Amino acid sequence: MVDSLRESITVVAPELAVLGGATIGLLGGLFLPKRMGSGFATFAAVIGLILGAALVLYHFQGDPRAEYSAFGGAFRSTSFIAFAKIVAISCAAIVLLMGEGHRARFGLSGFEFAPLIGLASAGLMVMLSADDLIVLYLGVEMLSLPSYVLAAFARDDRRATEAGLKYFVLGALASGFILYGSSLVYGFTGAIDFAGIAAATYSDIPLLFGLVFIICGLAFKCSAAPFHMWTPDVYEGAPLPVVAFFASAPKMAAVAIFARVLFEPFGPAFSDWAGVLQVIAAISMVWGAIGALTQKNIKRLLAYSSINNVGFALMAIATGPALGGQAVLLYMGIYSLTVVGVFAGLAALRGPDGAVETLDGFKGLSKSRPGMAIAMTILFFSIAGVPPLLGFWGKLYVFTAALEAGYVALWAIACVATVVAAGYYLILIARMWFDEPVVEIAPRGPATALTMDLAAIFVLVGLGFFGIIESAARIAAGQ
Amino acid sequence: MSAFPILTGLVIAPVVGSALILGVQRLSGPGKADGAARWIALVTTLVTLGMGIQALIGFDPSVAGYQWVENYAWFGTARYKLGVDGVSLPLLLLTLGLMPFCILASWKSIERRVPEYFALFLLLETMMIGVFCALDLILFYVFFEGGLIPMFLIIGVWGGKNRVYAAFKFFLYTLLGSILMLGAIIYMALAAGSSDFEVLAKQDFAPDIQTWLWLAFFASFAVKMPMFPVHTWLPDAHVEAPTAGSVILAGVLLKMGGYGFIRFSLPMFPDASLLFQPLVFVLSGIAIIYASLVAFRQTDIKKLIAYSSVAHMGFVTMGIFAGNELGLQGATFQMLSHGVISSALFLCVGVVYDRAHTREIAFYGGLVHRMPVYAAIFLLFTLANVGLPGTSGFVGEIVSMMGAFEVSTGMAIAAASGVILSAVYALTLYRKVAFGELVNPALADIRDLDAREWLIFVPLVAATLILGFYPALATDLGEASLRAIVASLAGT
Repeated sequence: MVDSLRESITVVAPELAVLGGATIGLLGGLFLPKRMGSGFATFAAVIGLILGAALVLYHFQGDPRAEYSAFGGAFRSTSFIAFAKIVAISCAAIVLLMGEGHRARFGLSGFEFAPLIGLASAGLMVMLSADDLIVLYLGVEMLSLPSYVLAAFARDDRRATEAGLKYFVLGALASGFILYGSSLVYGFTGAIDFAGIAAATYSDIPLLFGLVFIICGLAFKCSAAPFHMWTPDVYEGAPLPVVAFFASAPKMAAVAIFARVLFEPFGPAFSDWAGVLQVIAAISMVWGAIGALTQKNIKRLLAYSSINNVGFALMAIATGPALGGQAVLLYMGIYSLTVVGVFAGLAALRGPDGAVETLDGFKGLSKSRPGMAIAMTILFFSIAGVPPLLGFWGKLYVFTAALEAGYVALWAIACVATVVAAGYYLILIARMWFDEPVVEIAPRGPATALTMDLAAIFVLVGLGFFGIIESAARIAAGQ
Repeated sequence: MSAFPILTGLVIAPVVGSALILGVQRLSGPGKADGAARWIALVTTLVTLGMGIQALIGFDPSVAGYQWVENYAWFGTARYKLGVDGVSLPLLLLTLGLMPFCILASWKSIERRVPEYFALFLLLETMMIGVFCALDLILFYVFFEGGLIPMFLIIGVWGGKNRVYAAFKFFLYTLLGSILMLGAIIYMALAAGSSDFEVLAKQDFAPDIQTWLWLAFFASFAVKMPMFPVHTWLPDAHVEAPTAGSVILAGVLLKMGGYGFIRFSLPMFPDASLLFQPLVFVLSGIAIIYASLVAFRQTDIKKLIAYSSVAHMGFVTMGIFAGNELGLQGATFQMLSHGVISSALFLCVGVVYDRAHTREIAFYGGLVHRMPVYAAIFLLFTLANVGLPGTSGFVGEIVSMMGAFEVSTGMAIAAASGVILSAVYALTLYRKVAFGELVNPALADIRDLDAREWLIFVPLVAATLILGFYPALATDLGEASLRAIVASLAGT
């Protein structure tokens, strides 16, 4: 626990790498000629992300159960955090790579795109590693502020502007919740570090008020119902590559830090928050499934799908660290990587008037673009949780956690939600396979298509290497 | 035994064939790979059939346990464990044996997107083989559910007019049933610390727990079977699916339900199986009588055969839950025989559908004048479906009824009346389609069977008659395994 400044710097080296990449990209974009600037910015940001992921891996390569602490216990790194970080920044890097070359289509030609994603990624890493309430808040804001800008990045597009504004106003409110909750918690325990809060007693009702506020704020950040209202609008309005980022990296991070906040400082209050989480999980699963059924816009549909999926992850959190830790990492990890593939596929589709946004745009895809249709079908079946695809294994572990904890009612709700949700993934697949093509689909962007194919292969052969992911998540969850 | 992991080979071979087809299509461009796809599919199914026969030759029917076992750690508590015993081997062979016929039946009738069709069909074969070979519950579930993906696409893309509705209904019905079973599987794996069949079969669950687990499994298998009142997806799926899809549905997919009851419900939850025996009997009785009456009123040939499948599956559930050796033997034999007969009937429908493109009974009539060979074959399978002695249909029905009679007279009476009703609807269908004057001018120049169709029907006729005259060929395979199951039931 003795930590000199130098040791602390070593612990935060991954964050510094990501931050450095983003900053250098930003400077390069400013001072290099316009033609080179954008490419350089992306390059630098991606290198930063990859370096960050490598450093995280390096920390845990010798002893996967190692724990690092920095800055007097304000910052912490464990394998649980490392798992979430690696998944999240891999997603961010993939989003950057696949968008390169045809960002202009989505109104994202400014070079700031990549540095902003880099900055948001650094923010989510700080958030994940927070070990006291102040760093937690800092991390949340470091993630949120670049995100607001990203949502409104296509500033000529009125819907994007609306999305950015809506995201900002509601996001600020949620941050306020977290801050207010934190101050209540500090007021009643006299501690801001997670260990100190955990050591405090839990008889105080006002302290639970603080907890409830923090839960509301974090539920908003990971778009769990009933705090999900912003999600469909932001997804619909924001440019596609940005939504690909929102749906994967920050979601993984938000769910993971949600789990950490509940497991670590509020671990002793398990019996108080487990019920709340069960309710949130149930509402998210059901509402995410029902809300999607009537959507005509693919991005709105995927927004509801993400609400539904977060519900499953929260169900795992509600079972507590011992049962749900591994399940939540597995579920969100698989979901994040799959959903990046889905968005990559969407980005590759181009109809006569811009990106394909309505469900009807999928009609007859199996005829016009058979390869893409196969890959998309695999991805959607995976998110629906049909074996032998990887998505099924995530569901299996979440269901196992819920049943082991004895949440039979919640499990039953999850079953119904799974079937209803499968219904709308089937609608998408049916559009691709059962209908005749109505829109001309333009040649696919190579980078995006490759991303989607890789994601499809990932979930398809997941059966084979699932053991590796499974044991990584098990170690990360400390079992 | 042999060092070659034959069951893994069986599971993998169709996937390889499927990948080959897609690869050939990628290389040769759209529309040019059709012929290659057909031949690759046929060769693949023949190779798997060959491997299946090899597994049969190396199989020792006097042993009750699993043979050809492959057992590797997978992850968590799940294991990659394959093996066959006397219950699963006949069904496995049925699957392997029907596949080449399905490929042949689709040879010409599938005209659009040929390579995709055969690739999906081979994937479906992998899943079906896996279901009958898996000896680990998680692995079993993977195959059991995985079959939904290709079947959904086959019905939806290559089906009839109402195909989208039928595909959705099929998928969602089955998913709802299976997801409840998944819960039960998880519970059992947690309680026993293993999802291995052999471990679980020895695990004694408390009676009230058994009740819940039994119900969860029942939800899944009853839908698959299908039993009254969750049978309604079957007529839709059958009618809309292409001929080969119907064959696989009736021939193999329905058997997964019966297989599940024999493999899981009886040996793992014996108390609950006894407790729910009256329920199953009542549902089986309703299925037999009600489905037969509904079949009588159908105007669509495929729908009629679909309802007749529901009725025949009623015999299977009745036999299984009679819980004695006769009943189980009758049920397994009935599954096997129904797999052959109903497949053959759907192929018969396919023959005239390919020529006239309608399944309306009223459209046909007097086919015997133009298609004598076809009419003879159709008659044989119609009578086999009714249960004429000398055909395999008779053996299955009589043995399962004898099994049920030992337990419940009422059940046996209901089942026996079903036999009469089946004669009513089946013979009526035959009379309307084959006999009478050939009045419809559209049928004036309809052709009799061609060489490919001969090739399809001769082995099926042979199988029906051989199994009818010498049923021991099939029953000997399963005897030891079934006896072990009955012994475990009696032990409780």
